[in-house]
Amino acid sequence: MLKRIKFALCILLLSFSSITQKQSEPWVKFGLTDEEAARHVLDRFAFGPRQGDIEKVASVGVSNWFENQMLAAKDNSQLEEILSKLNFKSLEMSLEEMVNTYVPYGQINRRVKDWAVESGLVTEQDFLTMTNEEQRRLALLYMDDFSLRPISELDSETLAQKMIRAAYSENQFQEVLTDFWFNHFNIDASQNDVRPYVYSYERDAIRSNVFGNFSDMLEATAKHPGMLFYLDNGLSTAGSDVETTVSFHMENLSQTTRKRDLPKSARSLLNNSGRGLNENYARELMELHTLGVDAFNNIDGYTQKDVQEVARAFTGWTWFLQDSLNTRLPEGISPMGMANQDSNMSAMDIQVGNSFLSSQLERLGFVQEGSFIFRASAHDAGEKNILGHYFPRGGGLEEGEKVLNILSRHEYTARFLSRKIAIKFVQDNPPEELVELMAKAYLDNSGDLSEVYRSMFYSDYFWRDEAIRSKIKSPFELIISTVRILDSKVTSLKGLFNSIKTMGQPLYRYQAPTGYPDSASSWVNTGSLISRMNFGLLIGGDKIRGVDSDLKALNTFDGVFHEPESVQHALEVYAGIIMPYRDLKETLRILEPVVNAEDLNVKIEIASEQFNVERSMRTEMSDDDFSNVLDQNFEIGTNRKTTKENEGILGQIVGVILGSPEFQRR
Amino acid sequence: MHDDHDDDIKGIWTRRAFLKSGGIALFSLGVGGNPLFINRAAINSKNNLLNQNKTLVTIFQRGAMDGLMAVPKLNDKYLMNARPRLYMNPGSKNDPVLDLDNGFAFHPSLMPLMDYWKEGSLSVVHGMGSPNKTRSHFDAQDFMESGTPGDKGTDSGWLNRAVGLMGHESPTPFQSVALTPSLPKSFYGEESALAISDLDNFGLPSYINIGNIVGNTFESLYEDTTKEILKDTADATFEAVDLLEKIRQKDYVATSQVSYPNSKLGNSLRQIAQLIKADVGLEVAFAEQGGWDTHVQQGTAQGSFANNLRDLSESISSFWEDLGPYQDRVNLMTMTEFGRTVKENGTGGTDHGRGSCLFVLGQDVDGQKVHGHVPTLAKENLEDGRDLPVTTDFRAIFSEVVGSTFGIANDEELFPGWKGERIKLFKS
Repeated sequence: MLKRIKFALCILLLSFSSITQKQSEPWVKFGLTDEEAARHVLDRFAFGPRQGDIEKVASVGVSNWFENQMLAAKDNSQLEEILSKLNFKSLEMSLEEMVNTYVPYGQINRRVKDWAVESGLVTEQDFLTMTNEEQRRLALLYMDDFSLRPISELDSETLAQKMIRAAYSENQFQEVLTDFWFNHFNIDASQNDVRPYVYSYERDAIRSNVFGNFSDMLEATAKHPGMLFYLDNGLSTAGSDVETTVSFHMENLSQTTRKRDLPKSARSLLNNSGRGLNENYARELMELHTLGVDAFNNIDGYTQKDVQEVARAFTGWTWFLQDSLNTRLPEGISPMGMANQDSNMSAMDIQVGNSFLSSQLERLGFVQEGSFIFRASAHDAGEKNILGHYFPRGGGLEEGEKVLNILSRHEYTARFLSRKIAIKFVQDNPPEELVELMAKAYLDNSGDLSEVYRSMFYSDYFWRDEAIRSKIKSPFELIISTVRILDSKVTSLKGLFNSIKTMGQPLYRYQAPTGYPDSASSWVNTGSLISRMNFGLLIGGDKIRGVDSDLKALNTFDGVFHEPESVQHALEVYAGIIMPYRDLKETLRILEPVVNAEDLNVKIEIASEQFNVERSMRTEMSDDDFSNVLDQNFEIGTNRKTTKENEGILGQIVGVILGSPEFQRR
Repeated sequence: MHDDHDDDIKGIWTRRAFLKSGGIALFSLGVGGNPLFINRAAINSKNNLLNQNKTLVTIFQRGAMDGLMAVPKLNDKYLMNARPRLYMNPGSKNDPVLDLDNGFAFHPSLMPLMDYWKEGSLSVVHGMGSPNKTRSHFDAQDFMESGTPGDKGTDSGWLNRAVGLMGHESPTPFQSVALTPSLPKSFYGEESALAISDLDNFGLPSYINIGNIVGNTFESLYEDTTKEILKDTADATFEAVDLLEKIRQKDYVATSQVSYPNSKLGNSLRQIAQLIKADVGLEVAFAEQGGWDTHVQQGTAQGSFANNLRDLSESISSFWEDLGPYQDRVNLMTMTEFGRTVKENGTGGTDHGRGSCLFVLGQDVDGQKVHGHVPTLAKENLEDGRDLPVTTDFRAIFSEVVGSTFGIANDEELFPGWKGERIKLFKS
C-alpha cells in the first residue's frame, strides 16, 4: 500500500515538475527544439546570431539567457575593448560637459575672428578674404585653444557607438530595446537645436531605463533637452497676462524676498518673457508616448481640451545651460528657453553650492535637477482640469510630474505600449489576447517593463508558428545582423552608415515624432528589395568601405577551407551558414537562377540606381561636414588575414543569400 | 502543299523545320508511321536546316572526378601502394573492376556502358586537364567553361563561341539549351541560349500568390523582380515558351519508354532526349552532375563514388537507348575540372589533383580505346610528386569534338590564346 502511495506521489511530483518545465519552456509544446527556440530569441531579442551563438544559447538554456539579458550585466569586454580603442571623447561625458565642449561652427564664427585678430594670426583684412576652408581651419585652431570640438564629431561618435553597440554588445536585448524605445520617444538629430543632446538622450534617458519602470523613462525624456527642444516644450510658457507660479508665491512671501534683493542677473529669471503656450509636446505626449491616438475623443481617453491643459501644466519645463566657460567667452552662449534679453546672464553670479539657484529662487518655485530647470516664472499657475483630475491654483513643477504619473498608470497607456512592444517582438498583427495579457502585466506591476517583456516571452503567442520568422528586418537590423553573422572586420563605419541611409533609415533622423514604422509593409516593396539585394552583393563582394568579410573562414575547420564543389553546392553550404536552423528549400529554389546569372552585379546595381533616384534622401547630415570619426582607422573583429579572393563567385553567392527574402526575416 | 521527305541512311525520318517568328512550320513523322501532317511555310532557302544537323551533349561533372578510380590503370604497383584502401583489383571477389584488356579497367559502376565500349562507340581520354594549376573548384570550372585557362577576364563561354562558329543561323530558340536553373558559363556570350531547369514547367510561374506579405508573396515578389532584372533577351525566352507550348499541345514531345535514374542528371538527359526527338533544332545541350568532391570515405566498388558513377553511366545509357535511331546524330562528352591525388588521404578519400579522364560517346568515335597518356605512377612521373600529370590539354579534345560534330575549324577563335593541336578521337 505504501509503495503504491509512494509511486503515486512520484508520478505526481514528476508531472508537477514537468508542468513547471513546460511553463518555463513554452516552445516545447510547439515542437521547437532548443536550437530553434534559441534562433527565434536571437532574431527578436538580439540583432541576429553570430556564428555559434545559437548553440551557446541553447546550452545555457533559452529562458536563462532571456532572464540574464534583462539584467544587462553580461561581461562586455569585447565591446569595452573596442570602445576604448576608439577613444571617443564624448562617451563618458556628462551632458553639461558635452554641451560645453561641442560647438557648431556657426555659433563661434564671430569669436574666431576676434580671437584670431587679437592673437595676431590674421588681420581683419585677411579674414574677409579667406576661403571657407581656411576659415574652417582657423576655427579648428580656435577650438583647440579653448578645448572645444566641432559638433559634427559628437554627431559621428553618436552614430558610431550605436552601430558598434548593436553589433558587439553582449547585452543585446538592451541594445534592441534602446533602439525601440528611442524610436518610440523619437527625436530628430537633423534639427540643429536637437543635435547636441541626442547622445545623452539615448544614453541617459532611454538606455538606462529600458528594463525599469516606464514612468522613469517617461519622466527622463520629458525633462531632457533633446525632447524639450524637439517638441518645443522648452519654449512653451504661460501667456503674458496669466498668473505664474512666481507671482503666486510672491504674494505669500515676506518683504525680504522682494525682487530687488536678488542678484541682478537672477532678476531677469523672474520675468516671464515667453512667447506663450506651445501644445506640441502635450499632444504627442498623449498621442504617441502614452495613451495612443485611439484614446483621443474616446471614453476615458483624452480630448483637445486635455491637450491644452496638459500643455499649461508643462509650461516652464526647460533647460538651463550651465556654461562654466562663460568667463572665457565674451558673450554667454544663449541659454535655451529664455528670451533674448536674458542672454547676458552669467551663471557664475547665481551659483550657490551645487545648485545655481539661490534659496530665494527656490522659494519662488524654481527647481533645478541637474541641467533641467523648472522656470517658475514661465509656469501657468492657474487651476486646471486634466483627464478628470483637478489641479488647484498655484501649482508648480509637481503639476507636470503628476500628469506624467497619471499617464503612466493609465489603462490606455498599458494597452498602447503593450501593443507596440508586441508588434516589435511578436508579429505585425498581434492577437488582442496577447496585448491584454501584457497590459495586465504592466498594470499589475505598476509599469515595470521587465514584467511586460516577461509576460510576452512566457506566453504561447511568442512561440506559435505565425510568430516565428514573421517580422522583417529594418535596414539597421539588416546591416547589423549581416556584420554579426559574417563576423566581418570593420575598420570604418561610414560605408555601413551610408548603406543604412540608402535603404531608407538615416539613423536618428526620422523627422516626425512617430519614429520609423515597424511593419513589413513599410519595408517590403520592389524598391527596397532591390536596394537590399544590392547591399547584399556589395557587402559580399567587400565593396562597402570599411567592411571586410572573410567568407572562406566561415567554412574553414581545423585550418582547412572546405571549398564547395560547385556554385550550387556553395549556395547550399553558405545559406546554411548564414541562416542556420531555417528551412531553406524554398529559398534555395528561388536563389538558384539568380546566383549564377550573367552580369548579376551590374544589373542589380543599375536597377538599384533607378529606384533610388527619386527617393528623397536626407543628404545634408548637418551644417558641418562629416567629421573624421566615422572614417577613423580602427579595427573591430578578429584580426584575420582577409584575402581579395572573396571578390568573385563566393562573394556573389553570399551576396545573393544576404539579399534573399529569407534573410530579411527575423 | 506536298509532302517532303528527306530520307536519311537509317530510314524514314524527315527533317523538320521551324520558323522563329509567327507560326510554326512543323512536319513530322513518327517512327515507322505515316506523316501526321505536313505544314510548311516559307523557308529561308539559304539556311541549311534540311541538312543533317548534329547535336553535342555535354555533361559537366562538378567537384573533380577521380579519373584513376573511374578508369584505373592496372598492374601499377605505385597506384596499389598509394591506395591501400581505395585500390581495386580486377577479378577480385570484392572489387571486380572490368578489365578492358589494354592496361586499364572500368570501375564496376561503368558496367552499363560496356556495350558501347565493346561496339566501339565509347572512348576514354585519360590524363586530360588544364594547363593552369589552380586547385580551386570555382576557378578551374570557370577556366574550363570559358575555355581560357588562366584568364578570368573572358566573358564568353567556349560552347557559345562554338555556336557562333557553326556558320549558320538557327531559326529556333532551342539551338543551345542548358538543363540548369540559370545559364552556365559555357553558354555566356553573344549567341542566345536557354536555361531550362524543367521542361514541363518552363515559362510557368512557379509560385502561388498568397495575401500575407511575409508569406509566399515576398518570395513571389522576389522572383518577379529578379526575373525582370535578369532577363537576357525577353524575346528569345518568350518565343521558346510559346513554341514549347505549341509543341506540347501537339504532343510531339513524346514521353520516353526508357526508364532513367531518378536523379538530377537522369532527368536532365531525359529531357534532352525529348528535345532531340522533337526536332526543335537543338544543337548544343548542357547538363551537370555534382557530388564528385570525394575528400572523405570515397568507397570502392560500393560507396559514394560508386553511386555517383553509376548514376552517370545509367543516365548516359538510358539516354543513348532512348535516342534510338537518333544516335547517329548525337555526340556526348563528359568533362570535369581536374582530377584527384594518386595517394589516398587520411579520411578514406582523395584530395584535389590535376589530370583526370573524360568519356566521348558517338557513332563516329574511335572507340574502345583509352586515348591520352597515363605514365607509370611513380612519384617522379607525377606532377608535383603527387598528381596524375595533364598530358592532354582539354582544349585539344573539345576542339576535336566540336570539329567533328559541327565542322568547326577555327580553333583560334574557339580557344583564343591556344596554340595546341587537336587529339584525334574520331574515325573519319
